[in-house]
Amino acid sequence: MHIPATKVVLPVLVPVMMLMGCASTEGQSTLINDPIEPVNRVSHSINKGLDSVLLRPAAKGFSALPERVQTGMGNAASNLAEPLDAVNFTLQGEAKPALDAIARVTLNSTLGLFGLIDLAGALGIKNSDTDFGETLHSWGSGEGAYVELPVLGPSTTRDTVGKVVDAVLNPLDLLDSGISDDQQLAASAVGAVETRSDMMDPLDAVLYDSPDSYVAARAAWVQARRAALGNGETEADDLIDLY
Amino acid sequence: MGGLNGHRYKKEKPMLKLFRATLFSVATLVMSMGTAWADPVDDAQAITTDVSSRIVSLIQSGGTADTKRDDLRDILIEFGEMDTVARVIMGVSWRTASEAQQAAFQDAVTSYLAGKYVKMFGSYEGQTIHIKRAEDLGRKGILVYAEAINPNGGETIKMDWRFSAHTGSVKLVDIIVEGISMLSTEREVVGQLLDKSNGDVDALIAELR
Repeated sequence: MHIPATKVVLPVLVPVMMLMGCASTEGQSTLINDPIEPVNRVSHSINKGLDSVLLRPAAKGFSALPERVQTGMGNAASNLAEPLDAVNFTLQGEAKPALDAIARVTLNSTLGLFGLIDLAGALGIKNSDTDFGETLHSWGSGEGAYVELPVLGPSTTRDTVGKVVDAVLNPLDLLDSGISDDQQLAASAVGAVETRSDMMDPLDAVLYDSPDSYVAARAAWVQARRAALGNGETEADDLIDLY
Repeated sequence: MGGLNGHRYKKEKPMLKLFRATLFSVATLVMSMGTAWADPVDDAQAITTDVSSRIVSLIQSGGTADTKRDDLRDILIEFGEMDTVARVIMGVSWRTASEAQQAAFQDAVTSYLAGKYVKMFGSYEGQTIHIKRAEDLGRKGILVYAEAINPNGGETIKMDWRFSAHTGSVKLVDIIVEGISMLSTEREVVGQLLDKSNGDVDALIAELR
């Protein structure tokens, strides 16, 4: 499936990415650009429904598993993301995390029993995640408009392009790794369930205790994403005025 | 020996007595001024330690969600600058709201936020809160950079505590978890509710209660 995707998607993406590259990150305010809010709200209600019947119950079940099983499943899922992380860190010109990702997947896939044990982490080679959305950010692309994707959840136009490119660039497919699409999908699902479980109460507060869960989810996701793409620490400019 | 000292004391000259008394009051004054002039950044760190340990113990107490919310509400009232928090969250409508509406909103939003904070900290059971450093950001207040560390080796969660020193005393205004500010998020939500009700502050207050 990934081969036709490469042929179809790239000719469309390259001009889109070039256009977005023109949108500078300078002067990015704390405001959120949301021109297709009515469409996003439809996706949001679908996603909220999926969460209540599928993701949330799965996360409750996951958190009831023994701690060791949870960690093992999470490690195995995140191990499959390392090759793509290595590609993106390279594209961002970040040599150290790129080499770390390669070292991690090599160590953990062999001595770490197919990724179940984070041996590399225990040896001090820590995991860091990235994606093509971050690569675009590092190339100067602005975040674009807010988009809530059905099933996949909150994103921006830049990060949506990033997701498509990530699907095309994934070395697991390009290098005939022997990892099937189904296995990758399972790993993504485990990753989502693990995150939902880790964030059980805060996400419940956003989705089920807020008078407007769409706005609460949008505000929280955009802030978290901007913080993740920033230099890692909250700065004065990130804070809203008090007086 | 004690008798001899007592004897000497009785014979102390009035001038010396006055001098000692003056010295004592000056020393007391300087000490109390020292307290008032304590570095606000240090104050903010001390309050972060105090408030976070109070929140952790109330979360771990066996109370119901309602009791926990009420206890956290008391903490917010004691350590928070809730009039500023209420004004920032309400946004432009604050200026046209009556004093009674402002007070009712402040009351409602304090309980509402207490409920949110109980939820937020509910997931962090067993973690210790470690302060990394604090910085005076001038007009934007004081930021205490902290993190919740999982003793079992799980992920560390970034948690920044924002204070205002505007009124002279250092007061909590926001907690920013992994870049997500409670103040910014709730300002967006409240802004949306006000848009929906055409700026009806009473409807907003009813919605939050």
